[in-house]
Order: sequence, then C-alpha cells, then structure tokens
Amino acid sequence: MRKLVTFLVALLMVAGCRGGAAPAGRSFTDGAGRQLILGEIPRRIVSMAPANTEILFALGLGSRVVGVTTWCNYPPEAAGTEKVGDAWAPNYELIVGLEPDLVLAAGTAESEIVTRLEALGIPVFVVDAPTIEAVGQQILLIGEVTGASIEAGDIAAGIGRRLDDVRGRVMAAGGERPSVFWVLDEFLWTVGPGSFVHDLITLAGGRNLAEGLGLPYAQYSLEVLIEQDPDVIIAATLDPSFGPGLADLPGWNSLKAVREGRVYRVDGDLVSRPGPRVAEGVETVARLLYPEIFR
Amino acid sequence: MLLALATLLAAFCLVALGRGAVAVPVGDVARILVARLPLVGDRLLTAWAAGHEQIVLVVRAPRVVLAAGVGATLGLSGAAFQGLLRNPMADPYVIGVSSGAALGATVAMSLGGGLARGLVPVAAFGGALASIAAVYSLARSGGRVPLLNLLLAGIAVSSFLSALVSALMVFTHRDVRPVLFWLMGGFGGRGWFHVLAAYPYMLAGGLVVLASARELNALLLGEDSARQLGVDVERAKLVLVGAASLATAAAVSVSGIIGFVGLVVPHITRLVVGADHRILLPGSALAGAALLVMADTVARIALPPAEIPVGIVTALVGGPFFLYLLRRAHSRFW
Repeated sequence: MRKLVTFLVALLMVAGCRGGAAPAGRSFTDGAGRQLILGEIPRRIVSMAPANTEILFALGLGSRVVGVTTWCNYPPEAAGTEKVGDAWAPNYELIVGLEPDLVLAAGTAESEIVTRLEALGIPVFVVDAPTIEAVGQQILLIGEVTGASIEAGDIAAGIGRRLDDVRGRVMAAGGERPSVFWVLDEFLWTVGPGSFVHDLITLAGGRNLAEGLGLPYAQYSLEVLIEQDPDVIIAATLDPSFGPGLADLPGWNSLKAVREGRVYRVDGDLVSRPGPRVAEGVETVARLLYPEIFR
Repeated sequence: MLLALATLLAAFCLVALGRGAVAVPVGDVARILVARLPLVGDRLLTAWAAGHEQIVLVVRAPRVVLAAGVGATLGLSGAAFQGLLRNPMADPYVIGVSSGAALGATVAMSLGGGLARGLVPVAAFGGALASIAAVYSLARSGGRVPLLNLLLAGIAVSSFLSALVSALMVFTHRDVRPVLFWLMGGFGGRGWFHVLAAYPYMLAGGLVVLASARELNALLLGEDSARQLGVDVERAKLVLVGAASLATAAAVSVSGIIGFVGLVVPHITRLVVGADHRILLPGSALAGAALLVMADTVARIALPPAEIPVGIVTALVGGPFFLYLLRRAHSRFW
C-alpha cells in the first residue's frame, strides 16, 4: 500500500513537470521523436554529423562546439575543432572526455551511438532530415534546443524562400524535365528514390534517371545507362581523378551528355548534407540543368 | 565429358550475350554479331538501334569474354594449386596473389589523381607478382621449396598484406567504397581494353599449367615418388607456381578478387571427371568459365537497373550446388 502511494505521488510529480511547473528542466522532442529534458542551455556540444556541425556554426554557436567528426570540414573553423571519430566509428572515450552537455547525432533512436551515449548519461539529440523539406525543420529544432531559435528561424526561412524561388523558376520553364544521371564513382554507383540526393535532383527540376531503382544507393547497369542516354550527367565529388575513370568506361564517349559537354562535377559535400547550405546545393544543380534560366 | 562442358560454356555465353538489363531482341543480337564477321556481314541489313549495337558489342560482349577468361583461369589455377600442394583447401589465392594485388590496387586508389586511378590494374598486377616472388623466396630453404613452407609463407604474407590494405583504408581518409568494391570483384564497366590486357598472360600461364598435367599427376603420389618417376620436382614447382600465379595475377588485376570459383570449381570438376589432371585441368577451366559467365549474367539481370557484385552470386549459387554434389558423392571425394 505504501508503495502504491509513493508511486502515485511520483506520478503526480512527473505530471507536474510536464505541466511546465518544473523550473529545472526544459523538455524537447528530437528528430527521432524522443523526449529529452535539459537543465540549461548546452554549452559544450559535440556534433556527430557534418551537417549538424554546419548548422551549429551557421547559428553562431561555433564557440560552443567542443567536438566534431573527422568528416566535418565546413566551415573551415570547424576543421580545427577536436575530432572524435565519425558516426560509424565514434571514439566514446574522447566524447566522454570532452564532458559534453549535448551530443547532436544523426540517425534514429535505435542507432548504436544514441543508445551507447544515453547509457553513459550524456544527453543525445537526434537530428534526422531524410528529405530537403525536413532540413528547415531540423534547423529549427536545433535552434530550439541550443537557445538560438531566432537565428534558426531566419536561416530556415531563408532556405524556404530560396527553394520556393527555384521551384517557381523550374515551373515557369515548363517543357520536359532534363533527365539526370547522378554518379558517385567509376563503378557507376548512383542514388535512387529514398535518398536525399534523389529529392534534391527532383527539386532542382531534374528527372533522376535512376528513378526506377528499388534502392536508395546501388550500382547502375552500364547497359541501361547507354539505353536511357541521359541529358545531363552529374558527378558528385571533388576528386579530380574521377573523370578519367568514367571516360574509360566502354561506351561512355557515345553518351549524349558526354558528346554535348553536359557532364558536370559538383562538390559532393554541398549536395549531400542536410545542412544550412542545402538551398545553395539545389541552386547549383538547378543552374547546371537550366543554364538559361539560372544565371 | 570435356565436350559436354564446352557445350555448356558455349550455351551460357550465348545466353549471356542475349540477356541483359536492357532487352535487346535475340534476333538483333545475332545480326549485330554476324554483321561483324567478314564476308557474311556485308550482306546483312543494319536494321537495329545504334544504342543496341553499342550495348551488345561494347558493353556486353567484352564482359562475357572477360568473365569466361577469368573463370577459366581461376578454375585452372585452383586445380593446379590443389594438386601441387595436395591440399583441398588451396585456391589460386592461397599463396598471396590476391592480397598482393589488393595492396597494389589500394595504394593506387589511395594516391588519387587521374594517373593513379588509371594504373589500378597495373598496380594490382605488379603487387600480385611481387607478393608471389616474396613468398617463393621466403619459402625456399637450401635450394628447395618445401610445399608446407610455401603454404605457410603464403598465409603469413597474405595476412601481413591484408593488414596493410586495412591500414591504408583507415588512414587515408578517402572514400573507401571504391576499394571495398574492387575487393569484392566484378566485371562492371570492363571493356575490350581489359580483355586485351589480361588475356595474353592468362593464356600463356594457362597453357603452361595445362602442359604440366603429367607432373601434377606424378606429384599426387608424393615428391619422392614423383622424383623416382623422373620428374624434376623443384623445377615443376617453380613452373607451376609461376604460371598459375601469373595467370591469376592477370585475372585479379582486371576483375578484383572473385572468391569461391577457384576453390570449389576444381572440386566440382573432380567429382565429375575424376582426379586425372589431364582431364581435371581443362575440365576445371571450362567449368570455371561456365560458372563465372553464368554468375555474371545473373549479376547483370537479377535486379535491374541495379547490378550486384558477382562474388555474391558465385557463392550463393555455387555453395549449395557444391554441397549437393558432396552429399550425392557418398564416397570420399578428395
């Protein structure tokens, strides 16, 4: 009986907190739908994804970022921050040693990094932006949890405006949408529906050649590529050794896009990260697809 | 029996040419190919889509030819190593060809730069030959190369080189997907250039191995017995290891590391034709070619427009088939 009473009292207290009466904790819902209660505005943040790092710096919180992944190369200041491995191979010792009061992870609630860090008593906020549309929302969430809501609102609104502008111009252009083959390496890995980049191609006014691919990422058949003969080919990398590898492929030089000089290279980081530069990425691709409309 | 295997291989090649992710009518495939023949070709109307000719002649045909050559090489070299080392676990990679090639390819890919990318097959070939030379000289003791030494030196060198490959992948901080993909092996994007580059070595090495059938048969009885039968054992070892490794190195440099074929094809062939190397060696070559041509066709058409790594297909199809034969054989098969 006494146990039951204690339980009920505890329940009431929890309910009280939820009502907003508790002064100590603010409650947030992260991108994975998890509840997170934070005492104060986080001062020591570890970012476990390049996009998260870009968002934090864009929000003017660079000085509070104490750890980033090895892939975080933008903005340049971020490269100087301590590296703690990456999302697949995080160095938990280093992360714990930095004494973060918030870790911004990419992934889902079940991701190993989330469960491990939770078990270590470190607050984890999951950011998940699988589509272009979700990026603004995730920036707002990060702004909220870091106490930078106003800046986040400005950035999200700016992204929304620029994306609307691209949509409007593509719509006004009318006509058939150019087909795009998006290539990641000389093995012809490409992106299909369900990937972030597929979404980006579509928004930029292109028709992804691999729209029939049943997987978000896969190796594309060279036969099918030659048969479908895309209008534009975009190689998403800055690795200059990439071009020769593609040109060596049998039949490559007979492709329409190659003959017409419509093979382009874009910064793979710019177009694949769900961060504050997403509108820039969409505009970059739109400019390649519609050179006469976007100058 | 060999005739039956050759027929099977020819049939698989025809299917492979006729089928792909893009549906080219079988009649067109035949006409496109016949049009290339001298004399006859000129009388044909060229009534097919230009893109289809491109697909059949430039994309599909070299893949089939390359898969056949690599499959034959792996089957043949596997049979040679199993016979030479008298070890059923041996395969063409057992004394370090594949890890040497992997290191060469990984170094070229890690260097980056267009030149290094183009040199991946050359680097793989060089790495393979260098590792074989190292293993062979490490195994040598007192003018002889004991087979057990060869096997153990091969395993040690392989582990060492594989560790270097992993280290390069961890430390160079480039996209590791190309390396992983190369390690898995496959024929995607290979053209006539690769056929021309690899075939001379595969043919030369393969013919030397085929000509050594008598020595291999004698070695099956043990080195001493072979010597009494008049075989120059040390020379035979050098020739066999050299020829089989040269052919395998060429195969690996253009196809990556395709597992399973070189290990299991000789066993399957032995179950069917027996242990006489005069039949086992050509049989393994034909069976290896047939298996790999078939597997690559499946890799191309199973999941269009995506492709799947051919190594997955060889093991998925070949594994159960081998177990089936093993169960049916009842008696001792080795």
